[in-house]
Amino acid sequence: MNVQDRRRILGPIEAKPLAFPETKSTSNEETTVVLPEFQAPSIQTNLLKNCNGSCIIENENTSILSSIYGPRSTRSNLFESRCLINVTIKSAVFPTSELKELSSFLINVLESFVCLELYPKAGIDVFINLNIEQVSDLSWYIPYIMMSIVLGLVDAGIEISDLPGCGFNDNNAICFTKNGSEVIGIWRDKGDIKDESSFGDSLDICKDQYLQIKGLMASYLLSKLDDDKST
Amino acid sequence: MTLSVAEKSYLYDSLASSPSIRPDGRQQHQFRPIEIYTDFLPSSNGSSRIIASDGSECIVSVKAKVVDHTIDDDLLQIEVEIAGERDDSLITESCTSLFNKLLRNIDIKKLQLTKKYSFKLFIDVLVISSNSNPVSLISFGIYSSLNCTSLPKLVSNFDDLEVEELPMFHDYDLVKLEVDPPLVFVLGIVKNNIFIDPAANESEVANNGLMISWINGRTIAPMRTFALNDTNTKGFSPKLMQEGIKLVERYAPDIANALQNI
Repeated sequence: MNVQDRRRILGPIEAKPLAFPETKSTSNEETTVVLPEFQAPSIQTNLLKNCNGSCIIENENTSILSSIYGPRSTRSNLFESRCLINVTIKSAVFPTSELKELSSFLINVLESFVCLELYPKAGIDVFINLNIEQVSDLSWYIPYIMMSIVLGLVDAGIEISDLPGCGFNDNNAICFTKNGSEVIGIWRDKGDIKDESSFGDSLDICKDQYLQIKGLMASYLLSKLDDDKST
Repeated sequence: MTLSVAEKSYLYDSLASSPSIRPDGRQQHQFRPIEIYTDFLPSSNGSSRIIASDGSECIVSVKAKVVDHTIDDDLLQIEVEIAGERDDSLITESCTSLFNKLLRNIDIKKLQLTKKYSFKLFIDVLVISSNSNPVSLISFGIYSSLNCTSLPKLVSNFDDLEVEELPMFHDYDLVKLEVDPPLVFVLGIVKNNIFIDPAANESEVANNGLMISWINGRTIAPMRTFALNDTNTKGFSPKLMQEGIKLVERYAPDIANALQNI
């Protein structure tokens, strides 16, 4: 039998019960947020004068600015035969640990297409500023972030082996290179992988988006080259 | 681990060959032997110590606190500390963020005590030494510590909205926490081959790494690629991702079974 004295908690008999606010529903129903489709953004490079390369990618509610410093000499006394890459992302919307996780992911992606061995004893610093009006998942921004980094690197004159890009579909952000024959990164934060075929479909959609982004970047760079020649 | 150019080349060629030959003779899906001790911290509700065969070691402690879930609905909180790394280093923050996302897959209804109160679990991870990527080791540690977690037995009413009282617990009796913790598998990619649990020397030559999460027969998020070294990172065929998912789906139930039988 329970003989504990609970009067201390319950209070005197004539006490009126406190009115609790309504409890939050604890149902685990996932609210389905419909993420906007990929929109061709406006691109502008060589905006900032104090860095080696910069690029701003803008669409309706998002503006992503990348600034590239380097290759510049590192402070380390050790001899590094390859260049070291550092990525810093700034955003007021997402928590720092999540941004650092994305930085670490982007460093790994960059290491697979930047020609690091051409710049020994050097470092490249990439700074990303995310100015977001309407918040989506962090993974939704990865295609735009990748685009701004790649064009920033081209603007800084840093050698890269290809024009890589990233596509987003069904919570997967997949980075491709070599015309989609190779994957250099995948980032998935939400949802189950139902089956292999649906993942394969998502992979194909991401690849198509990558090819579209690659086309956009290539046409921008060619038009910029023509402008530079004419001036 | 520092390997010479010749050693790396030999190792890469043997791992890239078809079928791939791993330096310790393991199969594609085979883990290195691990030692796990559970419930060894007297002041924690659940704990585990996990030691890999290469000397990597990790301690996990689970502590519980009663909170009002109408105010604080974040009922699982994880802190990762890696020896030799600063708290704000990329690897530590990435691991913390990754595991916080991973634990969102746990059904928090199992932590509910009454209509107003729930247990909040604080999971502290300390990686004492790590010679290869510690993510898989940490995940196994969390799995075993959650499996052996016991929480005080509730003796007061479940419905405390009408009878306003704080939850009361039995003085001695404990109830086993019944949750399905997720697992994370680290896979190494070398050319066209993919294998589970890369050792330090395999990581040194791997072209890329893949992290796949699994819970109760389902492959879940987060899923990531990450570099296992900073000199050999390259792209890989998209088919390898599907192969990796298949590999995890096939062997993860056996691993979960083995961990549950501790």
